[in-house]
Amino acid sequence: MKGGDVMSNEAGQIIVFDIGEEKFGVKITEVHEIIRMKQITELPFNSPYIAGIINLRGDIISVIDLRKRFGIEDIAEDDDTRIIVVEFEGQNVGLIVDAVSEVLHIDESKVDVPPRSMSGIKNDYIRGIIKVGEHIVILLELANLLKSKEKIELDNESQ
Amino acid sequence: MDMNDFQELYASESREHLDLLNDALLTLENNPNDMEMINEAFRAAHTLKGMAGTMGFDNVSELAHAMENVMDLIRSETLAVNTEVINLLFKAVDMLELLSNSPEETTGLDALINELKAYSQGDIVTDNQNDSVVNPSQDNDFNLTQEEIDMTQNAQGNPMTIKVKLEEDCVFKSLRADMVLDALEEHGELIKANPEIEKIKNEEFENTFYILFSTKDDKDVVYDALNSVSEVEEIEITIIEDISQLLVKEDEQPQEDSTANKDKSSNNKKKKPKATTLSKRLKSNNTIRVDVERLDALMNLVAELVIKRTQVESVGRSYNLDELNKKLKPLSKVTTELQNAVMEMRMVPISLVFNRFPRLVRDLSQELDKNINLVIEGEDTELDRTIIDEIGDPLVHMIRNSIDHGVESPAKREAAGKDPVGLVRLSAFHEGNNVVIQIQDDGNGIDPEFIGNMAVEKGVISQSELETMSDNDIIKLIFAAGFSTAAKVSDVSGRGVGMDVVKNKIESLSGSVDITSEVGKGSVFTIKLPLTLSIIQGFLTKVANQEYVIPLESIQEIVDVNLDEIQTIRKEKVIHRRGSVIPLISLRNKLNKAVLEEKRDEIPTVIVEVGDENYGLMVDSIIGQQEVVIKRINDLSENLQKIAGGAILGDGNIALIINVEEITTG
Repeated sequence: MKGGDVMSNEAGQIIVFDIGEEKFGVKITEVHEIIRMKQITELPFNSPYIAGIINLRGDIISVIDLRKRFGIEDIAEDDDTRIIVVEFEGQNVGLIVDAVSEVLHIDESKVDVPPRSMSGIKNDYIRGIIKVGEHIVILLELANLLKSKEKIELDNESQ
Repeated sequence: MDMNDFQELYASESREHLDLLNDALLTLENNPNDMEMINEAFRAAHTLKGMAGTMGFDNVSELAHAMENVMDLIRSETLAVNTEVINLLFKAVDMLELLSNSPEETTGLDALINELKAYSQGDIVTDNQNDSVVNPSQDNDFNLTQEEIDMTQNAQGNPMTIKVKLEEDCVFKSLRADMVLDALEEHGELIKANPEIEKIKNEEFENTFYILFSTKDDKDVVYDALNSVSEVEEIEITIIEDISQLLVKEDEQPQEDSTANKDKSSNNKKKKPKATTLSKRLKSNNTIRVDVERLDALMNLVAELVIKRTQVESVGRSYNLDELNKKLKPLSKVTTELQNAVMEMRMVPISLVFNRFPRLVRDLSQELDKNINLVIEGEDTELDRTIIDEIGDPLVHMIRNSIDHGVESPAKREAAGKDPVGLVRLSAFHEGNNVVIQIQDDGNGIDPEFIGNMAVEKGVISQSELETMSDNDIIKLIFAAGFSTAAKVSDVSGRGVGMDVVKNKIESLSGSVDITSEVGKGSVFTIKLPLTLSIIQGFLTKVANQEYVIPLESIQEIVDVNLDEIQTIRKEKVIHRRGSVIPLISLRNKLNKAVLEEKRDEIPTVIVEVGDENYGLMVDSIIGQQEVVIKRINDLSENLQKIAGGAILGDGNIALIINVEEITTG
């Protein structure tokens, strides 16, 4: 698989977060910071999954609602809601997630190639899956996920 | 300073002299008798040679030297100015430009030097044999005014002219010259120098300069004083018996041909202002070079300060702290002034960009066999450095278009009863808080029929869409993506970069571009750019619980429109105001928000001006005037044309800045 070498060279730390019932992971190297929910300014003509923009210490960054991105019904934000700020094509982008659960060291060799379609998310957006305890963590391929405007319907019945 | 810093300094200084060289050659091509220009060019080449020598760039020195030789022949009227020579010199200038950035580049260099040498038929070593290199006028032609003559006569002692020649390899010529001048001053009175003192101090001379001097001391004393200055090679002192000699001499100087003389003097007169502006640009006495990045950093800090100030202000307001509010007033005045000062520092004249164009137009018209007169106006207009850096390429593209597609061939023009010389006018001027750049040609104009058919053919629009469009809208299709205008792809334009790229670039600078055209008469492209990109004055308004900023520059007035005033014309809501009909636009509607439920008798409305039209923007409420820092919205989604950016408010929230043009026309 492409990038196999690269993976084994990396520290292998991921940040695990929850969206609905699923657990997702992104490489810690891709994450800039994690912040609490902020006042979001809506933009008038958004793609539905873009929540709006926030003021991140004087810079304006776009925020994507991953629930909307995965087509899961909205929930009210609570104390656990976080914005994960990641870097995408040289700019910062925020991802709204239900909660950030943990930082994991993973053994890259244990990362499995995902099945053709995982929970309704196309292969392109998934770097792989890894079993952590009883859970399966879906490792996201952020660049592809952010680039694409395609609608994703997360299949809630999977598990 | 390490070597890299020197290299940078060298490159940027070379840039100035290359510009001078370009300018001078262009002027010379049009006025072959303009001796001031060939001197200007010569000086520039010479300075470049010297600079390159210091840096050890022998390639550059050699090339510049070869150029000097050719120009020297022109100056001595051994060689006539013709297109061929000028082309060759331009080629050399281009090479120098290339070399100034990558001094190791050698491709074609030797061939070029040989070509130049072929012209000058061998090497004329100007430096050693011709002392008056920089001062082609008479050695001791001081161009005295009557006043100066009187001064000389009134000065105590004997007037004398002193010729000082510095050693060939003298490194600090200006310093040595300064020492010479100091030494002289101890003994008498300096009256005048040739070249002028400023020029000497700026090192704008070869190795020799002349001084008109008056002293009570003996000639030998003066000689000894000067001789003690190191690196002085030669001193020649001539006592002037009669000051009027100098006058007589001057009269005699331009020999035999009295008509040529007349020519020359009238030419001189005409060229004077040009000459001063040229040398003005070289004057660097009172300026320092600052890295743009540092200015950017400073600008960011000021922007930060403005944000913080608004934050403090909003605290003062919400707690009604009168004392604080009062104290904040002068603070805001200072920050505004600071901000203006920084902004001004970042302003550079648009001539930095425009200067490239005479050369571009010349080369293009030669290439395309067209005759074009480029008129440049308003090159002193200042713009933010960032915009200047970015606007060059779009302008180049548009000028190319004008010349390639706009202006017809001389034969065609004559057949159409036009002046065979086409006109391209490039102008810049201020309009409110904007700078407007216009590119106007008197060519064939843009044919809406042709453009329309082309657009349909390329699938930009459909046939039925085309039928509903006005000619003006059709012409604007050249800005549409996927539309390349060239009927036949030429080398000059139409190499894939379309006008859509130009438009995008300008819009990314928060500007706009418009076009008007008349078939057979020509076209006008109008670019509007903001003076600066970062801080604007605006009115904060509220629409559907969100705050929006309307830039002050486009606001005419703010009114409460009474429901009775609103009329409906062709399903559009309008009001009458001062004799004109103003269409009303609901921002809620335009911004995709639900209609306001609550019924109101009066609707707060911001009247804005777009082009020549006024529009009324209806908002929920008006908060007040505020200075805001524009922040680009890094957005992944498109469709943001109606929003010009975001502004961070005192409470940390973001207000969206309305793009007035898009919201009224879109």
